[in-house]
Amino acid sequence: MATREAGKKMIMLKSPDGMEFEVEEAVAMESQTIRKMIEDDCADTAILIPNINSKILSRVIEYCNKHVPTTGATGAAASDTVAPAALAEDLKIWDAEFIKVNRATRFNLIQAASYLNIKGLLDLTSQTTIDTISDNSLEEIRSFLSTKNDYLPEEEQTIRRENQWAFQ
Amino acid sequence: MDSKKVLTDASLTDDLVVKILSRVPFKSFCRFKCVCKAWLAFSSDPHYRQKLPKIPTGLFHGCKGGSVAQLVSLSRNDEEIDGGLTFLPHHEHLKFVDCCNGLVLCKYKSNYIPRNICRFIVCNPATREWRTLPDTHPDPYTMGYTYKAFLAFDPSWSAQFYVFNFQEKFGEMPIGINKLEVFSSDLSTWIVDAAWSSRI
Repeated sequence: MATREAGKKMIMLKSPDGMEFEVEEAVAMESQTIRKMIEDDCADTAILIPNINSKILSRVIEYCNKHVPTTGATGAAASDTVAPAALAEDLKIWDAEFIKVNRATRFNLIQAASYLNIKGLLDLTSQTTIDTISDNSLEEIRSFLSTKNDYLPEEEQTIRRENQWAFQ
Repeated sequence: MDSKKVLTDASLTDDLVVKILSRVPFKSFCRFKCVCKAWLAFSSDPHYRQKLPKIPTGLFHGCKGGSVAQLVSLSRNDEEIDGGLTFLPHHEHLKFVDCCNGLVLCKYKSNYIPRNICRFIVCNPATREWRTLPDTHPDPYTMGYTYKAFLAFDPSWSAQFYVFNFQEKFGEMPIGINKLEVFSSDLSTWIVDAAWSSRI
């Protein structure tokens, strides 16, 4: 493995549909899964991300690029001139735009965030999903999450009665 | 599961659903349990139930003077809870006895109700629901006896609660229990076991 001090070390990420993405090591290490691979010296050449297609992987990389701590050469200008609070506010606005995706993409992002262990992305995608379903009816939640109501009518009545306080 | 499979279907595995549900408040989770059987099963699954929202965390303790009880809150979910139990009727005459998984057991003070009556009230401070239990009548020969009551409730297993009222012989070592009254909320009655002579 090449030495780290030689400028920005690049890592190649490959999606199973054959696309390759060259990213800075620091960006890739936003993923704890990839970080572990790099630290264990399992990332000599390219890292194959087995179950995330190129469309989702490119979105994940986009997220990591934005969220990588800006201490490197590229981020120096930004962090020198912008106050941390303003930076956090900027990130929040960026996140809100980033997550404006359809339902299938959002679920794929949740799956990717979980597999790659990217806490910030998992927080963002999960919280957005909760915000979506929180005020929905049970029927809407089932349809959103592709879940079938497998309660018999009397079973549903019982479980609803037991949890009635939560519907008020 | 085939790890080579590219995830394209727009559904989430149980593991991910639990990860998401772990972030909702307890009350929302109780509503979500009605979505389907799998979601209900999460709350009794030994692996998943650790991660899922539980009853708001805090400690209730009795107070001397002022309010009946006080809630030492350990989470943000507790902010709306009336820890002083001021929603209860005649709460100023109550004495805090016990609490268990979100329910609180109180007893009316002896200067408020007749001496030969023992009246408990169980409440849920989060929902402001309460229930006065049927009076129990302590042994007329109460000299030398003392009562200790405990509340048992675990909402993840059952919506029922139980109150155990032990009659102890005062000052005897080891403690002698000679009567046990048990109230179960589904039967709405006290069951008395007067034959309890074993020592704990």
